[in-house]
Amino acid sequence: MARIEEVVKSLPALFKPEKAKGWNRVILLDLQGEEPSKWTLTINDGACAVSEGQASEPKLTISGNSEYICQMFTGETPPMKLVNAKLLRMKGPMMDAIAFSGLWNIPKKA
Amino acid sequence: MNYSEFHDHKWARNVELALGYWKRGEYEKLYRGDQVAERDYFPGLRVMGAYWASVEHEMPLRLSTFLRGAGHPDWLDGQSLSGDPEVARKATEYFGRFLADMAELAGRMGEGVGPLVARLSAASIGMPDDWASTMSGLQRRGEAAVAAGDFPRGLLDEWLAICLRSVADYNRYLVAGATAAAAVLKRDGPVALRAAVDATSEDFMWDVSRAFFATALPKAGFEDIGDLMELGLRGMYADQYFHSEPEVQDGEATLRTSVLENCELAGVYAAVEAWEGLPPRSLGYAFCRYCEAHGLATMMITMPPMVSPGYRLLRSLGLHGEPCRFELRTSPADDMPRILAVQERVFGAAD
Repeated sequence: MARIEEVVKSLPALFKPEKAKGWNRVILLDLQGEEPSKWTLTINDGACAVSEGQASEPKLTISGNSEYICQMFTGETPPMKLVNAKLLRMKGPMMDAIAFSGLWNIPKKA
Repeated sequence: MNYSEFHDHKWARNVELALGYWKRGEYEKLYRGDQVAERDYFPGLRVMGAYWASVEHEMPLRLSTFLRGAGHPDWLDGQSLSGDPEVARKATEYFGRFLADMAELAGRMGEGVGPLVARLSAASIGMPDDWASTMSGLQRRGEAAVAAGDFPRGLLDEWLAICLRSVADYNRYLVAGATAAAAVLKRDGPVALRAAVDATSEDFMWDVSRAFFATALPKAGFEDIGDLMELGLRGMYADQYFHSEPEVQDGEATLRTSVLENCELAGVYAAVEAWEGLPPRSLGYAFCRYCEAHGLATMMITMPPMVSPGYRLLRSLGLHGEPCRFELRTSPADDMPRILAVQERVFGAAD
């Protein structure tokens, strides 16, 4: 399995439903770099589902290289560091972009 | 100088830096910014233009908010204080002194800046309706010029002109606010001045956040969260010298203190206090409290939901005559309710 697929498909297990109360969103990962691909995250009623491709009109689009998404969700690089360095771009409502990083149990690297 | 060069005219230092980068052909630094000293950063034309446009939205709001709290909303008529002729006359005179400072500094710089400042007058500095399209056009041409390695002097002058117009307009309302605060203090007394601010600071906190985050910054092309964070980190260097102290742990909480060494507001209010024969810092509450409210709202908007932010002003130029010290305290939390509340208050209900 490709690395990005493995990471993205692990997101429902990392998802913290208690952080997403009242926060239902469709989020598109529009990725370039080592593994160009598109993934749709659907957060609805406290559940997170992942599908490959662009399923519907996203509220928030996260774009950048696939390796940075891998770094973010494996805890290798803090999300805000990637965003501040503009290695990942977030297009959509500002508060959705702020909220996004708080929805996941991202492993902490020692 | 009528006003403090250190507090009120950092714009001039940035114009000088911009001219230097342009003359040396350092167009990337000119456009995107550069670290110039341990505690100073040149924000670059892109960030500086957006910063000045956004704070230009803030000053009329501060003025109208304060006058509403003081029970004198009728003093403000459009862009002037013509509802009270004495306050209006003084505000015009004091703003004229600011423009005289700008002309003196431009003359000192040479390098063709004089004509850009000479065209500024109270009649010409209002924010044009098409400011956002002008800025996005300059951003397109700026990006192209950096990519091509050829940044025409005319393009630099256009960038400087929009910044200088914003600097002047921002200070027009700032001077008007200081003059109005002095009138309230003299006529209605210090208790009334304090009450005017206390009655309106929470409204201001959300109104200014809407003006910045929902209106000015998106129009200025700053919507991506990385761009906004860059503006937050670098934009203030357009008019301030500031630094952050090392983080301190307090149990589970993390404390971060930002030290603002100069303050454009403190400089203007101090000058007006002196010209009005008022004691130093007697007008401080009229602006420091609004700054604290503005800062708290910004932290509530920009801090991620895994922390809960607290924010307070510990010391200030306006109240204590010392560099401003703002303390941000973040504690681990499940603060998604804050995100949802801020979303609704600043941006409207999310669908």
